Amino acid sequence: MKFRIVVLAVSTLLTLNVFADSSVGCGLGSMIFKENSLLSSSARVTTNQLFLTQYLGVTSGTSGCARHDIVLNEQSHVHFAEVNLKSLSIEMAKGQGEYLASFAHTLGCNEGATEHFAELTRSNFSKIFPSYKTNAQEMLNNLGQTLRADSELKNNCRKANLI
Amino acid sequence: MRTGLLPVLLTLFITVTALAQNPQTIDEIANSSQWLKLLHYHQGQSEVDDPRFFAAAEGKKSSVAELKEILTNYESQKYHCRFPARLKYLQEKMSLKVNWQECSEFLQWKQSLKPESISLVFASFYPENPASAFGHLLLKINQDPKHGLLDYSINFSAETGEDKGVMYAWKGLVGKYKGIFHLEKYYIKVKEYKHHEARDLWEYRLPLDSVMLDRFIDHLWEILYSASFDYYFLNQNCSYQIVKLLDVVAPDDSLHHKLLYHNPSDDLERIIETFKADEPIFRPSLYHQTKVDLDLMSRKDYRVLKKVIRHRRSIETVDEPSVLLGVNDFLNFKKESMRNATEKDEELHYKVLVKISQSNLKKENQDFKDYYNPPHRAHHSKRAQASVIQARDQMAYSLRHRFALHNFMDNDAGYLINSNLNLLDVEARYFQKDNIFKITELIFLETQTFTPLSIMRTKPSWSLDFSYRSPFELRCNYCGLTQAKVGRGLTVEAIHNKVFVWGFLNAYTQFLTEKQTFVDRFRYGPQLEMGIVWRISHSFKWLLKIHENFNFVEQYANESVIGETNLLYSLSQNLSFNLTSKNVLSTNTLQVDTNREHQLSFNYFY
Repeated sequence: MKFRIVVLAVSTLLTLNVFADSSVGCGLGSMIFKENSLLSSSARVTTNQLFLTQYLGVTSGTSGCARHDIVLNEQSHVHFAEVNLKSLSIEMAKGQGEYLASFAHTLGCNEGATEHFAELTRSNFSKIFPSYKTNAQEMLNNLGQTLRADSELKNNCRKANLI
Repeated sequence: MRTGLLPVLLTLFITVTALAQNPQTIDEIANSSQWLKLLHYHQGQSEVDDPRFFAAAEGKKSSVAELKEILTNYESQKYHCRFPARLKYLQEKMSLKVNWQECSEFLQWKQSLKPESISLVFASFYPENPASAFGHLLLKINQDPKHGLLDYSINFSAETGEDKGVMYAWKGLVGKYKGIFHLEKYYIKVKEYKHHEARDLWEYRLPLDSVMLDRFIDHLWEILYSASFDYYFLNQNCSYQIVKLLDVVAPDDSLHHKLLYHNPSDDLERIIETFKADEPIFRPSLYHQTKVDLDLMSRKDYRVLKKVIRHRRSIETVDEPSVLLGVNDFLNFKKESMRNATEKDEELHYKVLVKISQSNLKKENQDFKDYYNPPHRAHHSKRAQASVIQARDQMAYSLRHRFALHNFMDNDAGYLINSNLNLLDVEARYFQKDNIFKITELIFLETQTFTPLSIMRTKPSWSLDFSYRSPFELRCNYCGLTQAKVGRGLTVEAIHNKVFVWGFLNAYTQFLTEKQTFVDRFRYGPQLEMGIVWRISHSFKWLLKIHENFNFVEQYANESVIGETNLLYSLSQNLSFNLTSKNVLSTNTLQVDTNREHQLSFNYFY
C-alpha cells in the first residue's frame, strides 16, 4: 500500500509538467535560442539586448521586466527583421509569402507596391543576402540601398530612406 | 490658494454626497457580478496577489473598500488612468465626471494597439514535450486582417526560472510560481510555437461588439500594469486565466466556474460556445508545412533530396524545383524545430535559396486537408466507461473513469493521432459467478507516443506506465500487480495517415500483491511489444497488438504472448464504443489457450 502511494505521488508530480506552458520570463527574453543571436538566452544578459529593447515602447514594468512591449512604429521593421530573419530570407528568395508582405507593411509600403517589393527582393536576393552569415542589420542596409535604387518603391515605401 | 482648493472641495462634496445618498447602491455595485469580475474575485477575495492591482489597501479582500477608495480619490490619485475599466463601469452606474485626457500614457498605449477584434488562439498538443501535452491557450488582438503576424498576443505564463523535474512539478502543483500576462508581437509567439515547438495554431475570432472590445482593452491595461497571480498547474493555469480575462466581456455569467483542473481544450470549447466564435484560421506547424511538401515528392526526387541534405550530392547538380523547395523546407525545419543545423547546413541552405531566387520558383498553395484537425472537435477530457465482459469462465461488468486525457483508441478528432496520455484511470469489476467486486485497474500515468520515424523525426517513440493492474497472463481475475514500465520504440507510417506499425522494447518492474514474500512478489525484465493500427477515419479504428514479458525471475520465466485486438467506433464527438478481445498464446505449446477475455465498452466523454 505504501509503495502504491509513493508511486502515485511520484507519477503525479512528474506529469504536472504537462500543465504548464513552456514559456518562461517575458517578452523577447522568453524566447530560447541555442544560436548566439541578439535574441539568444546566452545574449540575454549582455548589452546586445539593448539593441532590440530600444525599439520597444516600454511604458511600465515590474521586476525589471516590461509587461506591455508596444513596438515603436518607426522601428517596427527592425524588430520584425531581427525576429524573422530566416523566414524573410526564404520568402525573399521565393518572391512571395506572408512574412514578406508583413515586412513590406512595416516598411510603410503601399498595398499596391507589395508585389513589386517581393519581386525586387527576389531578383536582388544575393545583393540583399550576400552570404549565409548576413545578419538583420546588414540585410536592412542592403535592402535600403536596393529600395532607394528603385524609383517606384522609393516613393511607395515610406521608410525607404530610413534604412 | 482659494482657487486651488475649490475643485478639490467640490469633488469631495460630490463624492460624499453620492456615497451618502446611495449607500445601498454602493453595496450593490461593489457586489455586482461585473465589479467582482473586474477585480478577479473568487469566493470572497481577489486571486490577484500584487497590491498595486488595488486602489484600497484592503482591496484584495473587500470589494466595497475598493469601490469606496476609487470613488473618493479617483481624481486626486488618477485612478482612472490606472484602472480605466473600473472607472468606466462606475461612470455607467453613477454618472461620474472623468477627465480621460489626463491619461496620456494609457491613451497612447490604447491607440497603438488599434484593436479591430480579439481572437482565441490554441497551440496544439505536443506529447514530445510534456509541458505541451495538454495544449496552450492565448489571445490575440487583431489589428489588420491582411497582416495577422503583426498583431499583438496576450499570453499568461509562469516565471519558473531554471527549475526542472520534480522541483518544477512540485512548485507548480502548490502555487509557488508567479504567473503574469505578457503583451508582445504575435510573430514572436508564432515563432515559438509553430516553428520551435512544431505545434499547429488555431485562431478563433471572438465577435465582440465595440463596447465589449473597449472594455476588454481597458481591463487588459489594468492586468498588464500590475497583476500577478499564483500559478497552479492544475486549476489556475493559462487556460483558467484566459477564461477569467474573457469573463469580463462574456455575455452572461456562465463562462467561468472554477474546476478541479482546467484543461485548455475543454476551456476552448466553452469559450467558443459562449462567444459564438468564428471558424478557426489554421496556421499549420512547420512540421506539417514541411511534411506536406515532402509527401508530394516522387520517390526519385526524395532520394535526391536525402543525398543533398546529407551532403552526399552537390546542390549545384540539382535543378528539379521540387527538390530545391524540399531541401529548403527540410533545412529550415532542421534549424528551427530540430535545433541541430550545422554551419554546413546553413551554407547549403543559402546556396539553395540563391538557386531558388534565380529559378523564379513559385510555390503552389499547400493543401493541408490531411492535417486539418481543429481542437474544438476534440472529445472532452474526462471519460466514463461501462462494459460487459466475458472474463475467462464467467461474465463480469465494469465501470471505469479516467481523469484525462486521450487514449490511442479514442476518437482522435481534434487530437494528435497516435498519442496516448491517460491520467488517473480506474476500473472496478463485478464478477457475476463468484459474486466478487474488485478494483482491477488503476492507471496513475500511462503515456505513449507513436511518432513515425522520418528524416524530420529521428527520435524514437517512447512510453511510460505507472499502474496497478490484474495481469492477464497470470490467468487470475482477482490477483493484481503494481508496475513501472518505460520503453523506447520505432513507429513506421506504412500507409500515409492510415496504417501505422510499431515495435517497443520496454523495461518493467512489477510487484504482485497476492504473494507472501518479497522474492515471490518481484518480477522484472524486458517486454517486447508490437502492434499495427488501421485508422479508417478519426472515429473508426482497428488495432492488433501483441506483447511478451521476458522475466528474469525464474519462476515466471515461461511466459506467454498476449494478443489484443480493439475496434473503435464513435457515434459522436463524446460517445463511442470499443470491442476488445484478449487471448494468450502459450510459448510452450504454441496454442491459444482458454485464457481469453472479450469486452464491449461504451464510453462517454464529459
